[in-house]
Amino acid sequence: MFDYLANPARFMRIADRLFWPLVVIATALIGAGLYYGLLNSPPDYQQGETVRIMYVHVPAAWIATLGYVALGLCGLFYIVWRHPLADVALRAMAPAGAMFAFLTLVTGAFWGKPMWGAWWVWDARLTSMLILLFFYLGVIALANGFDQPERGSRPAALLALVGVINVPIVKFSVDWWNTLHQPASLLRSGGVSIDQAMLVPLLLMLAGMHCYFAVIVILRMKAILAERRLTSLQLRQAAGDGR
Amino acid sequence: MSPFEVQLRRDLRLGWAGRGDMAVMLGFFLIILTLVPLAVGPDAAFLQPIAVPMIWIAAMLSSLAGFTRIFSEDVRCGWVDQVALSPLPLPLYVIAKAATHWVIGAVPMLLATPLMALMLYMDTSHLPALLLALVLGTAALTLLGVIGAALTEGARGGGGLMAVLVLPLAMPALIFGALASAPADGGIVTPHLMLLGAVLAVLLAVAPFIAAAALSETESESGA
Repeated sequence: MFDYLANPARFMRIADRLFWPLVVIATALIGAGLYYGLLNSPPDYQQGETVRIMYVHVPAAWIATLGYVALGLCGLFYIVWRHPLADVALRAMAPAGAMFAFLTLVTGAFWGKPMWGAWWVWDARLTSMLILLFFYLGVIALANGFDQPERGSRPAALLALVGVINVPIVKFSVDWWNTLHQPASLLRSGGVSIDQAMLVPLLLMLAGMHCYFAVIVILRMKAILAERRLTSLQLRQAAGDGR
Repeated sequence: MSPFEVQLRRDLRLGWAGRGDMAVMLGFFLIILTLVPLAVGPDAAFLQPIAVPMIWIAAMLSSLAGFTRIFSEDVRCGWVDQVALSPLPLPLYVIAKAATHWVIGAVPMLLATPLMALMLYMDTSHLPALLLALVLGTAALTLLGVIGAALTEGARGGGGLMAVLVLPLAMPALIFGALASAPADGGIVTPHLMLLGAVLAVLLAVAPFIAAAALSETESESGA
């Protein structure tokens, strides 16, 4: 399977076939999720209308953490098997994941101000999420920090792998420490603790935004592959002119 | 003499020959701490509670400052290639580098700490706990710095890039270290100190291998 996908041209063909269906699914799911989330779901009895921020905040946080796991896996595949696409995927995912981590923090701040009375608290969940954003930025900086771009691949892969240690801290911070951030409502022992009227838009948004993330990553991977092809064509042309 | 000892001796001699660079680290540490009273004001009531955290932050930043080029001379002159060919495994080479860097860079900082603690009006009964925690903490930072230096070897903006990579990783050491330095009940060996020791133990186990993995790449590509 991994060998099969190692050919960039073959990957591009499969990605092209997946791309538009994913765009349609993401648009439909996010559209439905926003409709239910913003217009057709009840306000929370404690949080009022601000609960609607959750429909963006929670999916963004999931993508930021799962995206980092995927980043770490790409790093592993690159270091151990030297899989050529793992590096492309890593470079494509890092900025997208960083964007979702940033979105998580910003939407959280918008919710925190009316609910906690503060834009930011130094709570374990918030702080570990901020550190996750720093890891994303570090991977981006390292991947692009060398004069020959391909030399940044291995250091960035190693850093992505090292940073995975932070992911369980983000996930379980609400259980290990007595945080101001509320504990998990979906993936918890004892079942889901959200009412169905809010669960439906949340699940729609979760599925839709994950598809959206996939769309961004495919788009960025295609762009990176096209860029590399362009560079090698230019080099070949320059070599041809020299002869 | 084992290859490890040879490496250790060589690095200690080189470190001693280049001790001016390490004096810069110590100077950086002293100057950061001198800036604190200038920013906060000379009032002992303000300085005393932040003395321990500021000493930790200064130790962290100045440890990083000494790292940017720890491997570059060895990569450039081909020493890393020679190590790769020799019976000395690269992780052991990294440990030798880290150990000498700690002895030359961190020990003077530890010696200067009581003086700075006094100048920041720190509660002197906490001094033994602070020093013990700093011994473990600077060792952990040294290992993190070695990872950062190996990852950024040959990169463009070395120092700043390294700080961005290493400081997030250094947070556990900072948290436990600062807590262990000001124990509430006056005891020295606190749970926080043990956690700091655990951080150091984990780093001692993994850091040499991560740094060696990053270095072997640099070496193979610059050699090609």
